[in-house]
Amino acid sequence: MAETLLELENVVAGYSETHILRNLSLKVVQGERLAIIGRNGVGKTTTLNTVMGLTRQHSGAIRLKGQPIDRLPPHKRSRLGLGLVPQTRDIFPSLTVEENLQAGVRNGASIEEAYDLFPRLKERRRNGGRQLSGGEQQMLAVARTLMGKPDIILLDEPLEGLAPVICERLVAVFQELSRRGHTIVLVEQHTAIALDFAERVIIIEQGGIVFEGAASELKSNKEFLDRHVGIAAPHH
Amino acid sequence: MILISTIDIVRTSLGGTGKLLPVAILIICAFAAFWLFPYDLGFLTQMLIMMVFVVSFDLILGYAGVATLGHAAMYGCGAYAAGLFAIHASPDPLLGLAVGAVIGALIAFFSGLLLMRAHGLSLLMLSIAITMVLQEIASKARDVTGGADGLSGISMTPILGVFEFDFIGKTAFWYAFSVLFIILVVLRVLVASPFGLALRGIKDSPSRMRAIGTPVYWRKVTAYVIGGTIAGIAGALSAQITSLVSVEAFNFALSADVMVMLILGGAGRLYGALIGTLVFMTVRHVAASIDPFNWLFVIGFMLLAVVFFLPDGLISLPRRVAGMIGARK
Repeated sequence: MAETLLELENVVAGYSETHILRNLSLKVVQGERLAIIGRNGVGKTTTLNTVMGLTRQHSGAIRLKGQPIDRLPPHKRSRLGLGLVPQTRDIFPSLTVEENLQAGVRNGASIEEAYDLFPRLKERRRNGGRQLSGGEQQMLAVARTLMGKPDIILLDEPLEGLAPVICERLVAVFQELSRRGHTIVLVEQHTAIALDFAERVIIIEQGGIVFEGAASELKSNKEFLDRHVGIAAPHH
Repeated sequence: MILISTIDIVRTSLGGTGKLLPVAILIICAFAAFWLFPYDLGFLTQMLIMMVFVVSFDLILGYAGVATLGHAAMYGCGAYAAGLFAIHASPDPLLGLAVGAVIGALIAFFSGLLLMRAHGLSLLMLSIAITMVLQEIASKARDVTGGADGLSGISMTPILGVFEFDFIGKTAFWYAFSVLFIILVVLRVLVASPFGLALRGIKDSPSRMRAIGTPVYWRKVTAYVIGGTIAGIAGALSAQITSLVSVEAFNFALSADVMVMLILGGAGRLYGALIGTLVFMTVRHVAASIDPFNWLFVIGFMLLAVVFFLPDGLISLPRRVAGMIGARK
C-alpha cells in the first residue's frame, strides 16, 4: 500500500467569508497521477490554493505526510514539499529566465536538470520573463516549481490557452516527471487529456466530490461525464 | 593572493568587467568634481551624503517595491546617535559611523516589524507617523538633543588617526566618497545575490514568491533593516561633517525629496539613485540661487517630464535615445 502524502479532511474553504469548498475530503498517495476535473467555478483551483494556504480555510484538516499544515504560511508548505504551478503562471517579468529559476532553487536543486526537461528555456535563459511566449512561460512556471524539489506537484490548468503542439510537449514532461517518481495532481479543463494522463480522477461539483475512481472507469461512462463535466465524450 | 581572490569574488558579483564601467566612471567623476569645483566641496560632500541616503532607499523601494515616506526616521536617528556618541563617548569618525549604522538598523528593525505588514496607503501613513513621533521626541528631549536649536558641539578626531577634517572640506569630501563607494560595492554584490533576486521577485509578485517557499515578510524586514543601516550611516556622515544635527533631519520633506531623487534617476538600478541625486541637487542649487521662491516649479516640471517620458528614470535615457536612433535607421 502506497503511503498517503496529502490528505484533506472535511475542508471548508473559500475567499473571505464565501465558502467554495464544502467538506471536501481527498487523499493523494505517493507517486500517483491524480486529475481533478469539473465545470468552471466548482472549486478546482480553490482546492489547490487551499492546499498551498493561499485561500482562507474555515474548517477541516490538511495533512502532508501525516503532519498538519493548516496553520502554516504558504512558504513553509512549499518548503515541506508542495509545489504549485499556478493557473496565472506568475512569471517574474523583471527577471530573466535563469533568474526566475534561481529564485525558486531550494535543497540543492539544479537548474541544468530543468534545462534538460525544457531545452527551450536554456536557449532563452538570458531573456526577460515578459519576452516569453505563453508556452515558454508555462514551461518556466513548471521548471521554477521543480526548483523547489517538491514531493507533490500541483498543476493548475497548465495547458490553458496553449497551442496543441505545446500541450503535447508539456504532457510528455508531466509523464516523464511521473516516471521519475513525482506525485502529480492535475487540475485540467481538457478532460480528454486529463483522463489519458491520470490514473485516478476526482470530479468536483459545487465544492464537493461527486466522483472518485479510476480514469479508465470514467472514460467508459460518457453519460456520467456529460452530466458532471459538460462534455459529450473525451476526444483526441 | 587573498587580495586577488577577494577582487575576483567582488568582480564576479558585480557581473564581470563590463559592469565595472559605472564604478570607473564614478571614480573619474569624483576626481573631476574635486579638481573642477574646489570651492564647492561643501555642496559636493552634501551631495555624496545624500547619494548614500538615496541608494539606501533604492534597496527598499527600487528592489523590494516597498514605498514608504518615513525613510528620514533612520537618517535622523543615525545623525543624532553619531552626534551624541561624538560628544559623550568618542570623537572617532569610524566608530561614530558604526554607531549610526547600528541605531539606523535597530530603528528599521523595530519599525519594520510593523511597517512590513502594511501595504499601500496604510504603509505610507504609518511610516510618516513613526517619523513624526521620532521628530517630536527629538524636539522635546531638549536636554539631550538640543531641541529645536539642534545638537551642536560635535567635533571629530582625524579619520584613522591620520586624515584631519580641514576647513575647505577636502577630507570630508573623500571621506564621504569612500563611504559611498564601499556601500555601492556592497549593495551591488547584495542585489546580485539570491537575496537580491528574492527582493526583485517580491516586487514583481509577493504571492508567487510565497508559493515557491520565500518568507516574504522576513525578506522585506531584512531589506528594510539593511536600508535603515545605510540611512543611519548617511545620517552619521552628515552629523560628523556638518558638526550639527537638527530636528529637520526627521523632516517629512526629506523623505519626500529622497523618493523624488530616486524616481528621477531610476529606481532599482543603484546608479539611478546617484544620477537622480546629482540632477535634483544641482537643479535645486542652481534654480534656488536664481529664484529662491519658485525653484520647486523646475523640480516639479522635471519630475513630470521623467514620469511621463522616461518612466524608468534618467538612467534609461541613453538606452531610449539609442533605441530611437536605431528605429530611424
